[in-house]
Amino acid sequence: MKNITIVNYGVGNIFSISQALSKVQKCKINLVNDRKLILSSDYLILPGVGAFGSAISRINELGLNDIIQEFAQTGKPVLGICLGMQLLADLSFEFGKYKGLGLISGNVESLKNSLYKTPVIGWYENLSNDFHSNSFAKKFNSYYFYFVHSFQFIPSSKNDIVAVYRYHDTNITSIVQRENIIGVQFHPEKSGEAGLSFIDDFLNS
Amino acid sequence: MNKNNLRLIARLDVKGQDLIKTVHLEGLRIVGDPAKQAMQYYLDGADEIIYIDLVASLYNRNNLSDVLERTAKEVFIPITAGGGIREISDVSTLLNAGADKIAVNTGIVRNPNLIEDIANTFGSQCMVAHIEAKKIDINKWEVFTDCAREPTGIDVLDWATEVEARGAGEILITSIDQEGTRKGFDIKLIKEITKRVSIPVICSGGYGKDIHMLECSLAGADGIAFADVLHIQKESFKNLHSIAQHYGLLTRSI
Repeated sequence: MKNITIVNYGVGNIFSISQALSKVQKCKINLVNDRKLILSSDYLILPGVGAFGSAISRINELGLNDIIQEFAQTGKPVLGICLGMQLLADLSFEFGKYKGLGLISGNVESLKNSLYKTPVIGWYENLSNDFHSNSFAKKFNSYYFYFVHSFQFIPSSKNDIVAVYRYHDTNITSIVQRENIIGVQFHPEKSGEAGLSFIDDFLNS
Repeated sequence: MNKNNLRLIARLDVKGQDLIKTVHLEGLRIVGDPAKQAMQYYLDGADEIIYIDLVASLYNRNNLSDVLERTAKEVFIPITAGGGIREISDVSTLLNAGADKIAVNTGIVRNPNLIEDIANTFGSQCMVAHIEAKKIDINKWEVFTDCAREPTGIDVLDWATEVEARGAGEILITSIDQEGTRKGFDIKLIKEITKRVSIPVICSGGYGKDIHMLECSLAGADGIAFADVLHIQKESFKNLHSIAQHYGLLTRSI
């Protein structure tokens, strides 16, 4: 049985992620922030909703930053969801300037543009990027996922972008991956069958 | 026209443990088990579920936890819960039961600071300002609370601007006049609101036929909440999505 840790730092949609994981596979889910338990897991999921600043301070306060880095170095899969994906970046400019986990280089910037509405809330078509060499997530080209966000992850290297979605006339990062670290801007746990299928594939990666 | 993808949403009004249907938010009629219906709408292609505990406000207590828990086990799309929310702890209870967003009407009219409190604690994306609007004059609507029972003297358009400024992530607008009539949405109202705010606006109340969807989208709506047409007329989301596509409206392809 797969052993999965959802990092529990008090900010996040932990409930629905657990439900979705249990729906797709028989697994043992830990909702913890304990080093030993985290490191003994097969998969690490970093959830998150709300503001970047308060999330990263909470992670640092709980000493989770080092533990996440240590887990990442083992080569086992890490999945950041929504804000959890943005936390993978080097820097965020959401209401200030905050240092992220730096697991995938890039910055988090505002989506704000007078031409369209923010937050973006809704279902958008995920479009895979040709630059990314190999990712299980590439197969989700043209799947619709549910997005809710006002800030976007802009990776430094386009090679880390697995997929984008079109919003008005711009491309917004949808999936990023560097080796074993993967991040999704959408909520797979809230994206119906497409989302469940994504989670299933992640657990087989 | 709104270039955002349009969300097609199932709205389920609940009393106790029953799914009910109303006209002008009055005259309750029992339709079935809300969680079962939600499951069916999910499988059929609903983009979201909205649960409103219609009598909660009158008793100051929301009874949705049980329904939410049963729903969240099988329904993997966003779920909004509303009705009778007065304080942060009410929000926590519903989020822990499986809701993703919280719709508040009476609670934020009585205490507008609750908008900031919810947005700061759980994020703006969680705070849906539900506005029950009644037309009182040409281009003038009044905010009602307590399930359309209490007039407040507050102007709907001013209130829409204020809830956005205070941190609401979305507006759910219910036209009391159109609700349950199948005569179409209050298009003027939607236009006036979407002109004033930049957060997404979900329209509720009045859908009866295909063209109403186009009218609503042209007026700038980001989402449409369907109730009567689903529960009573047994309209399917598959068909609603194809109606949207027929008009060239962007929606999730299912």
